[in-house]
Amino acid sequence: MPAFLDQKDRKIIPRWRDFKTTASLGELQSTKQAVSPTSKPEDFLETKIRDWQKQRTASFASDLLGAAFVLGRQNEVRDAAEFILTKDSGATRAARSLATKVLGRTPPDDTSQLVTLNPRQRIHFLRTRLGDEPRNSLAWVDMAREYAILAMPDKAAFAMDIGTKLAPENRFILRSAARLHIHLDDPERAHHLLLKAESTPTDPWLVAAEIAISQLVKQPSKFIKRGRGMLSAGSYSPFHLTELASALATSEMDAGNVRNAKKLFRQALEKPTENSVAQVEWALTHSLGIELSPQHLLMPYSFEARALDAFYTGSWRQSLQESWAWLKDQPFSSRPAIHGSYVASVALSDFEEGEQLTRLGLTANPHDFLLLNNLVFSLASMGKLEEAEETFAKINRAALSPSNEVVWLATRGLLYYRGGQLQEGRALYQQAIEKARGEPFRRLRMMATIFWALQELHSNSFEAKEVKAFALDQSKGASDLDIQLLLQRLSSEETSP
Amino acid sequence: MSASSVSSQAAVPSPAERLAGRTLSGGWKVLELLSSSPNSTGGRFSKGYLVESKDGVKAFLKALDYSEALRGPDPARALQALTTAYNFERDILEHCKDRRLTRIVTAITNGKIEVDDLAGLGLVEYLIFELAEGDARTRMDAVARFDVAWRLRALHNIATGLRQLHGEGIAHQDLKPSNVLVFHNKSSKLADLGRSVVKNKPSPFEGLEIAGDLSYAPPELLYHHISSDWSRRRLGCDAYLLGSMVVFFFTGLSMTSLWMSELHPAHCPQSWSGSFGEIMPYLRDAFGRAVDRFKDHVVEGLRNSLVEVTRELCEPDPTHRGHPRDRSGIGNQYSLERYISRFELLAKKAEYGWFKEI
Repeated sequence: MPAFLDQKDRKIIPRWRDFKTTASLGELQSTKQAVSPTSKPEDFLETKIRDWQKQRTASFASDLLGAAFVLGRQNEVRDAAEFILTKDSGATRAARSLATKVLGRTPPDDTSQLVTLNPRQRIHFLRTRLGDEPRNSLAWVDMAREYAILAMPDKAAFAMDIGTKLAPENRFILRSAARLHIHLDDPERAHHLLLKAESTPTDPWLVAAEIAISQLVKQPSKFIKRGRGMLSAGSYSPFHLTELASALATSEMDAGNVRNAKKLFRQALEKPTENSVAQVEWALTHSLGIELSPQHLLMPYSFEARALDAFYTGSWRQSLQESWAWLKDQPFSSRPAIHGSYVASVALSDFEEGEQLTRLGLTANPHDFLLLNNLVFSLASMGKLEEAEETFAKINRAALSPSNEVVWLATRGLLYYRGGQLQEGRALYQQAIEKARGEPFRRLRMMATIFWALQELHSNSFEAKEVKAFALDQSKGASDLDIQLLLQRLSSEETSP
Repeated sequence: MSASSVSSQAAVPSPAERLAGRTLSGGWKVLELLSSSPNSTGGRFSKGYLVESKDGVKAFLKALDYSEALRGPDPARALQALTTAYNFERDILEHCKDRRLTRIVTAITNGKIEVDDLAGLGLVEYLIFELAEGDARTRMDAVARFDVAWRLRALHNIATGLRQLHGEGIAHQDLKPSNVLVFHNKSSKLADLGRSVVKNKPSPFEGLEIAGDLSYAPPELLYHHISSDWSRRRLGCDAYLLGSMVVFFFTGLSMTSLWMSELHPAHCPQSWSGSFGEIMPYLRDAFGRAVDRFKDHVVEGLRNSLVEVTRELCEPDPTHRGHPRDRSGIGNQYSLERYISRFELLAKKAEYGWFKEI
């Protein structure tokens, strides 16, 4: 049985993208008020303009262009930039490149960074760079990310350690490090890192991360009060406060204070990051009574929110497409591949795509149960039983949570069915259903019964009719669109006379 | 006289603009007013002339133009500032001349002349300098595109000039292509000491965060990180500007423009309101990319040497700037001795055709 993304709990854990992409999203702007210089220095630009007008040569044009660029007065030197770009100007490549930028003719920067090089190539590039610039903390962090994508946790942690030692107070580095340690199943370390950083108490982005991670480690946050103060102080722009408001809103939700949570989520949506939008999208599944506007979902990098939104509205193909983009954006995360593979295999019966997604997700998370499980489901559904068995054997059953145990039993059952061992399969599905008693497992139980019935039908067994009836009965009143889709499929399946 | 009455007479040439044809003390004859000249640094408060000595030696005259100062909102203050700046430059040039600083453009003489003026401001003070052929920019346009030997020799001359100044407790603070003058024998000298700062002596621009040209300034000054240590602030700035000249000679751009073009707009000095420490990781990353760009412009055999020099001299964190051996020792962290030797060696090699052109 394929596993779906557990939406019971979501914390607004910092996203971890490469530096360039993170900067392009505006998350690394200064939060402080601008400092006026004590004196206004001279820029001598007029003299340089006069010199250029008189000489009209490459050196004078380049010198002027560079100075104007530094001063933010590019518009005054467009003629010099045009001159530099003429074929015979004699200007250097660097000057031509700057002239192109000044004239706005630079091709749009591919900030998406969505796989132009593979992680190994990027590691090679970054290592070369760090050979020349060993103090470049951002390059260390970017390299840690590539190692995380390749499931090389020790190397990722080592590179991140150097990055954090070089710049222990930097927002990008601290948030990235926190995210890595959560990925490496060490949220306590992520929390500790934020607690000890001197910059955390004055930076709403770091306070937000600390509050979210304290929820994860189930410890009281040290910055709840400070965070509330930041929200009401009026000294930060709404964008700088969006994740803080989301973190506090989640905290209020956990405490059952829905009214406060709603208020805070509304504040988070004033000028949100895509992570805040995704957090609200998650909160919507808990009947919070707030709304996301279409504009929110159109935000750059809102892949997760769009994938989930499409899922809840039954737009399966779109949800799958967004899952791919989500996975490419957060390749070390298991969540996009879990969600995408579930949509592919359950809603679209596209097992090949389900396999591709899970295999990609397993690159960074080779031991993730849900990914291994969904891969087994896809492989078995395509008749690749041997591979499915091999993959299934990699699962460490002892470490499974009760709900994952239900999934495990059902998938084991599936493998028996597909291997022609109907009785063993039936027994395992029954065990799964038995284990999924109680309200928290309601959805899981419905799925297990439906998939059991589907396997009986697929096996053309004598029991198929009875199990089908049982599954339809057990799933009465199911409101989730994916369950309804499965029920439709089950209803339309013919049983043997 | 009010500022407005002066501006109403704007079309009338100022005394400083009416020197052509006059003979100055020492027999110098003023030949012509120059609209722009290699020595014409000093901004809008001065006028440049071509002058000739009794022996037929041509030179450059820089005449102080008080009338420009009177056009501003506070003429009295402007006049005082101008006079202070002139006196400072004159004295420092005298000092450099006395100390025989060979790589500094020193004044041949100075003086004053009375010119009839209805406004009663007829006294024109002037400085006469040796006449240059052009500045670094004109020379760059004139020489073959990849004349590495000349560039390296110029860098050697510039570094020597800075060392000579530093030895006298003077920090130039305004090293840029237009302040590097090139003479007929193709040697280069540093010009325009008007923005320089003298250790333990008052200097007209020492109160400014950035004494020199803002568009070439090192990152610590652009981000308002002003060290209280004289060497770090002043010599560190000169070291950066020397590294920036290396970059200019090969890319046509300053180091500041190069790294700033690699920086996210939110992290540029105009937008950034955080501290210098907070910007450093971003700055260092942009700097690394800028050095990569610079690297592409240098011939292969020279590349490693010049990249190393640029990394050390333009290092964004002034506490790490300078040659590694000088940084770890007890002497001057920003000593230029090692760079002078290096430029000398590289220039010699280039003069012998050592480096294969791109």
